[in-house]
Amino acid sequence: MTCPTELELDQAISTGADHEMREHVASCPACRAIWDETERLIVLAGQLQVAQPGGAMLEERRTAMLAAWVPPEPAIKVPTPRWRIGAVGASIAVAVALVIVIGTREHASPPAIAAHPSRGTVHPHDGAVFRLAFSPPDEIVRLRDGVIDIDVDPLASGERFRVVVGTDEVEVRGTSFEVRAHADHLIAVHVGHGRVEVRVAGSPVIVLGNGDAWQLPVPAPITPPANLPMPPMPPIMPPMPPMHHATIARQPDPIAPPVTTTAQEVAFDQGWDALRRGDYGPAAAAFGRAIALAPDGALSEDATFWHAVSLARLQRTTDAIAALRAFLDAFPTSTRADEASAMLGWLLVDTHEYFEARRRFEVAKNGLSPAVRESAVKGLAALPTAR
Amino acid sequence: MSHDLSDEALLAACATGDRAALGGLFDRFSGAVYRFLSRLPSTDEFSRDDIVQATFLELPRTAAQFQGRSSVKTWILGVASNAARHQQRSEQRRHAHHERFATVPIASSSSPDVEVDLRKLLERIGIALATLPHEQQVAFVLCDLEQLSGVDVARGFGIPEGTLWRRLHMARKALRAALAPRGAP
Repeated sequence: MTCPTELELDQAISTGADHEMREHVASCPACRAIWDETERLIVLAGQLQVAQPGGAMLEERRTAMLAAWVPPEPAIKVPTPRWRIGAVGASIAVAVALVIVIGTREHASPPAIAAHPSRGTVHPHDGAVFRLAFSPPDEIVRLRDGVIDIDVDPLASGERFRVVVGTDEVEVRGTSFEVRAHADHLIAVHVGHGRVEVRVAGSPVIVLGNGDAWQLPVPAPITPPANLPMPPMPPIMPPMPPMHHATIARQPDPIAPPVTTTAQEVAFDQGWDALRRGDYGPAAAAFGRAIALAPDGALSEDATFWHAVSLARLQRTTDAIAALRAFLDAFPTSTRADEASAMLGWLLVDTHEYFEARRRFEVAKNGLSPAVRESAVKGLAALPTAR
Repeated sequence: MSHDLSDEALLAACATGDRAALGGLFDRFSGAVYRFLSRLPSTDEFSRDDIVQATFLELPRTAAQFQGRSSVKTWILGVASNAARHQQRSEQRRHAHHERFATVPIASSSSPDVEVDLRKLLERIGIALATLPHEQQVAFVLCDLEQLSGVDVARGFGIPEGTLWRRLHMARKALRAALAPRGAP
């Protein structure tokens, strides 16, 4: 064999030399020198300094990146004459005023924060503490303290937009309504037009129509513990994804009871934070607690889903499969059902349970999310052909 | 990826403007992007954070262009490479890169002489790498240091395989020359 070119030698170093090339290099001092020098070069260059970002730094950058992201603008809408609005049922403006008495005063409002590409834009009042917990198609705004106004665009089929306060929640059904809350409890809902589902923990779902109103039958007498100072206001947080804190520090209000956080909410937050850090074990444990603390709570559906995700990321495949089956059994109409089906399908592929895997993928294949559908199609393609 | 949405599915979701998907991609690949950029002399610690952020912010816009011809990771590294190339660098930064390699920490060695020699070699490699054209730096870093397949890199960057091999060859040739003793041909 004649000497290969240096280019050919370099390619062979990367892709592997065939038998003839190996024999030649072994017997040719010139080619052998290039080969050895290149391998030495790669080893040496591998010792050049490499930055290893810490988890905290990455988390910080992640938060900054998501906060800096300006989602693509939706298509420009031609202003529609008012008389046409009713005809097409479009352009619904939903104003949600969730009021928790925290002694706020007249202050300039912080800038609006778009829960994008969400259907909603949150306008927090001073002192509001909230979080845009989940993005579409199942959006959740979790409010702890204060007042927020929300504008919600019309929801497409399969999309949800919920406001969760404690264990209660109000779900938008293409309407305009007002919600009042006090100390993490729903107090009243008034529907301008459209339809609203009110879910108060421990009570059946109440559906309100045009002009309907719901009020808490017996206001819960909540007495602030004596001599218990209000906790100091945490510092301003980045806009996404942590809990938002409006800019005005609040003072203890002798009238207002302390704002409470449910145990389920605390556990859920711990799980979510752990999941974001990549600590899947603590995440699974925390989501498990959130489920156990309030099996019928407002966050149970999400906690069950993320519990399964945490187990899957822990590679506890059997447990994750059981958790996903439990999720799909308990919440078959969840907007995350398709995603859960796809995920379950892949886990079942791992455990060679192909029959059920196919069934799960077939369900997910018709899901609303293109990403889920794509995953399901790939899953179906990955299944061994029937014997 | 069998325990969650695939990388490809996440990227597809990202293309539709899904913020959670973008966060998921960051979770999966930001470490790799950081490592890749930190190996490129054309980036420094001052610009690296910005380039990482720019890379991921670019994904929702460009994700639709992904055709599945390479791994998602390689494709994202391609986006990072472009972001790095477009990063404006000052002359001071360029000097800072060179100075950085003068203080490269090296593995402990048994003899002070050996240590000095090794340090000098690394200095020379670092400086030679910094003087390479960006495309050659990227080819060397991805193929030789990150150990990615040349075929995958070529597809991820949308270039012919032959072009990738030529870039890698040019890079290695220059770096091999930097390894040669002073005065040697």
